[in-house]
Amino acid sequence: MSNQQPPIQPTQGLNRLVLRLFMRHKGRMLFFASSIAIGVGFLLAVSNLLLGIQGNIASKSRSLLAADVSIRSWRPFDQKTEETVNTLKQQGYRTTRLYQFVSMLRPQRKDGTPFLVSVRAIEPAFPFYGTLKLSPAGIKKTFFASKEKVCLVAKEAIQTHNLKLGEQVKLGHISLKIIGFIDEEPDQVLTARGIAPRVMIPRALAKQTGLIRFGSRIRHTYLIAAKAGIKNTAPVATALKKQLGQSLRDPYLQVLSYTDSQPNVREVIARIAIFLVFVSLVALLLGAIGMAASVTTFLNEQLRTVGIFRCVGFSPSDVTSIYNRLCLLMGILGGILGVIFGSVLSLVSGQVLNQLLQVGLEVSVHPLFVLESFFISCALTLGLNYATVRELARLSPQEILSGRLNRIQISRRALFTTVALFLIGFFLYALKTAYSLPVAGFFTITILGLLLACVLLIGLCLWVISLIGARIKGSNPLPFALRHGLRQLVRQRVRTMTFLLSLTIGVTLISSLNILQNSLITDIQFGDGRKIPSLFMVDVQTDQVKGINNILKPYKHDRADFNPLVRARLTAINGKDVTPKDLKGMTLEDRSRARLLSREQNLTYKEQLNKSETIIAGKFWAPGSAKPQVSVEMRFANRLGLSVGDTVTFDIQGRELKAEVTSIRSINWMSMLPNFFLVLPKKVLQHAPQVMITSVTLHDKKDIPSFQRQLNKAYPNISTIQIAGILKNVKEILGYFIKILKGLAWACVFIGLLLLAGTLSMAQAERRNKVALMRSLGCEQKTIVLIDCIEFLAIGVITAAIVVGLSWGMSAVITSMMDITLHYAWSHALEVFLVAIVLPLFVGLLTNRTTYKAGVMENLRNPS
Amino acid sequence: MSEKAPLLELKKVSKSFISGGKPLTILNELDLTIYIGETVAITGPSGSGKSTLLGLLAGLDTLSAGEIFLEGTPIHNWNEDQRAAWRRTQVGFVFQDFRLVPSFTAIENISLPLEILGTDAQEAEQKAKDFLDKLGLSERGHHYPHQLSGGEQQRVAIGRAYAHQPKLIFADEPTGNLDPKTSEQVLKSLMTMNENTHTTLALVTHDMELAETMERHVSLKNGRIEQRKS
Repeated sequence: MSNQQPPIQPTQGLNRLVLRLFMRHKGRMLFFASSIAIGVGFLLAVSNLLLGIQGNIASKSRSLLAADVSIRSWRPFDQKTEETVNTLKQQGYRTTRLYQFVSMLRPQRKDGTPFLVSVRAIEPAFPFYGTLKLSPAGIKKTFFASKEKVCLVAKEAIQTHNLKLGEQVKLGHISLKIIGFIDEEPDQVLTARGIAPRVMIPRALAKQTGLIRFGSRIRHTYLIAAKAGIKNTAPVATALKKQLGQSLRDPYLQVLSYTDSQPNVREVIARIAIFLVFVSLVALLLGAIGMAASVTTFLNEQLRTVGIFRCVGFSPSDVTSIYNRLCLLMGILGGILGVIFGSVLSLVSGQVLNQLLQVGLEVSVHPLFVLESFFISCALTLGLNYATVRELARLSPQEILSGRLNRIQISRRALFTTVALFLIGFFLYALKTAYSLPVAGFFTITILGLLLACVLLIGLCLWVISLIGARIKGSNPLPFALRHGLRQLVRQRVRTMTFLLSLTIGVTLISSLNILQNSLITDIQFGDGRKIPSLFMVDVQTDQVKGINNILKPYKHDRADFNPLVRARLTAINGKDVTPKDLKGMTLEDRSRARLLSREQNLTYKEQLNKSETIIAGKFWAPGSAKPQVSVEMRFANRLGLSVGDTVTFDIQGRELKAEVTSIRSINWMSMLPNFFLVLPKKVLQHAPQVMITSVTLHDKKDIPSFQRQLNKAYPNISTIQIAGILKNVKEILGYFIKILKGLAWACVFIGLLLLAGTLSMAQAERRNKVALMRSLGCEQKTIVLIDCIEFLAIGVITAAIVVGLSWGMSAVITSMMDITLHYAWSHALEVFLVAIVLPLFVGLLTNRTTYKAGVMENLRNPS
Repeated sequence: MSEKAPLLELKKVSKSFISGGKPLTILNELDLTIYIGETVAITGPSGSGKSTLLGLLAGLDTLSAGEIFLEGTPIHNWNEDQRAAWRRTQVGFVFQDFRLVPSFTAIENISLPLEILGTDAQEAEQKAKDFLDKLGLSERGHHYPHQLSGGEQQRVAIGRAYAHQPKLIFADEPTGNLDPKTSEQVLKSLMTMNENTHTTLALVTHDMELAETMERHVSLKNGRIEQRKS
């Protein structure tokens, strides 16, 4: 009878072996994992933050609307709407009405300069949901019951305009007493740092201001809430919205339920998310490339071990299994580190945003994103190393142990497949975030182009350096060190390429952002070399033009051109109806187009172009033309898919106008001149109901307050906007955004430096060997350090040279896309050189310090 | 033998390390003289301190006690720069594991000591080619170490050791990593090169047969020298 042994279960043995390998090389495993953890962490943080912001909007959506449903219009409500609201009131719905508009508020003290405010005229029922926090406490009752004309002013205006309780201010034609301050109101989503602080007046006073008149920009709103006592009002809101959408046919009406409140904010967040996710993906990509290159070096070092494994009976599939499991462990470690880093970053950035913007933002770490982080980390470590592991397992142990094989060769096909899969993953993630094929495609092609450009440029630089190195003759320590330093860099091509790639892309991003920020700010400040106007005047009635010119006379100013503004709605393109549809499920581009189509359009008429406009297709009409035709701004035309020859139909206050697109214009928006997307001939539009807008440049800034005071006294309906204020806000918002992007770009640089330190550490045995050999051959310590310095300096010089070129190119493309002038400051190049040259030198010498310190025998005995 | 002048003299040389918190003496008051032009084999069991001795002879390590004289001049107090200068001009090394720079070609590896010495790069390259010719490796000049067999790598290492015409060669188990047939070829190259250049050779080996082919054979035991053949 044979003594049968139980079958061997190799899995447990393999797991033990994998764990042993992992622990034996724990330092390296930590390095591999850290390379991807940074990118994973950034993605997690960005996802958590955006979810937090959206959650903030969603959780407060009913408070944000202050009702269940709202009906809004820029025109007075028609009879049908009024009847419908009355019927709802009879059915038990709670309703309230408000007006909202911007105007000028003038403190009635001697030196009181009028300033732009956002007026809300409310009834006692406002708001149905959310908090209207006023101070002093209990002032709301007085506000509505007072026989005096009273108002409430936003808290921020107290400081900026030095207002006091009890002070008299003028709004339109009436004088109001400030009886309280607005501490909090329901519909503030992210920030109240607007250029027009809020002022509240009782609705009963609104008409007395004289500001609600024909042609004025007044938002009329009905807020509707379900009967008191209903807790879950979502179904009521949805049903009511549907019912109102069907019964109210006025195309100028906008019916919103709280469940779809703040669509614009959501859209802005979605667009910001795309940029943040893109830069995080770049950080992840660089880390992943570095990780894959380093793991390949590690697997090459494992050749002898694999040869022995195979000799003692492991099959190729066992070897594959061992190293794939090792990669999986790296991925899990990368996931853990990424989640820790990302979670800390999420919470810290949430706190910072809360402090900066004063919003009650709650950022937490979402379990789904944590899972996603682990998935990304593991998929990357497994996927990117799979081909190398498979090739390692296939090698003949005889070839390995005889020393004939000392590196793993991956076929081009396997390499191509890996890169293709990686790019597909990148594209799918971008698609998931942007929900737009063109955007995801654009980002994928951009990153592919950037990578290829960097690889080509680095390859070119290394080739040039190898030529230079070969031509350096002479025997002094410096030519010797130069020759060897450059050779050291060129000969370790994969290693050099890996960290140069990360460094160049990282520093390119930072540099491009710097250039972009500088260009934007310079353009904003100096208006592309032209003087930016001091003030915008809006809601000017045609009969007020002459009077305004008279007021302007004593001031040194540039002639103010008054532009008519006719409000209309686009109803059809080429005869096809463009009625707004449900936006749910639409792509980014479709949503954007639908919103553009459904919004109110501002038309103007003119006989000739201003200096910021250029015709790029078709022909602008000759003065006196009476043909219904329209000139469309280039980007607007692109977004709507309009070209020369198309027909557009407008509804102008109930009258239909069909016009042919006869020209497409490009506009230099940074000129800050009043410009319009849609321009028609004077004879076609001059009799339509209209108001005027203009910009005026006062030569002396000090004249602005007194001009505003005079204008406000004469024409209280005219709102003036100080352009400097808008630009300050734009700069501030841009500053925040660019700061965040720069933070992410710095992560890319950090990854590059980590890879430099990591690859130097991984090749420490080789370097120690070389140092020991050089020392034993009589090379002096200082010469060895000089050789390394030259290598690290060369890394810096290559990085800087590529970055200066690439960032200039990238910024040129972006600025041309944004219609702004590229302003390149040489300080940028200097900054790039400092970052690119100093950091690699510092990190490189720091990593090698133990090698320099060790004695020759120590390095010979313990190369690792 | 006594007719030859001493090149290196070690007098009461000791070398200790701290191992596991305790001092461990490897060489204990050792006396040894290496004469100009001789070939001397140093043998001894594993861990007897052969490589440590070689390190001290070559000025790669410092003494714990004792004195070393180079042609009568005390060198044990030399600083690292002085020792490096001596090695640069007068010493060559052959290591057991070849220690070629992996990213350098055979020519570049042989040129290295010449370049360190200050020879012009072109001249160093030409000399390296001549050495490769002598070693029968003229076709392998532009190959990297991983493209060469073990025997070829060690022959390149021999070329590197002799390239700058040193007075003294230290060879640490030069055939330790090679099979017998290759070892024979490598030794032949080494001995031919040594005879042609009349260089002093100190060779550490386990191979008693090889040791016996040297002019003199000393053995290390308990940290001291025993003469085996003189």
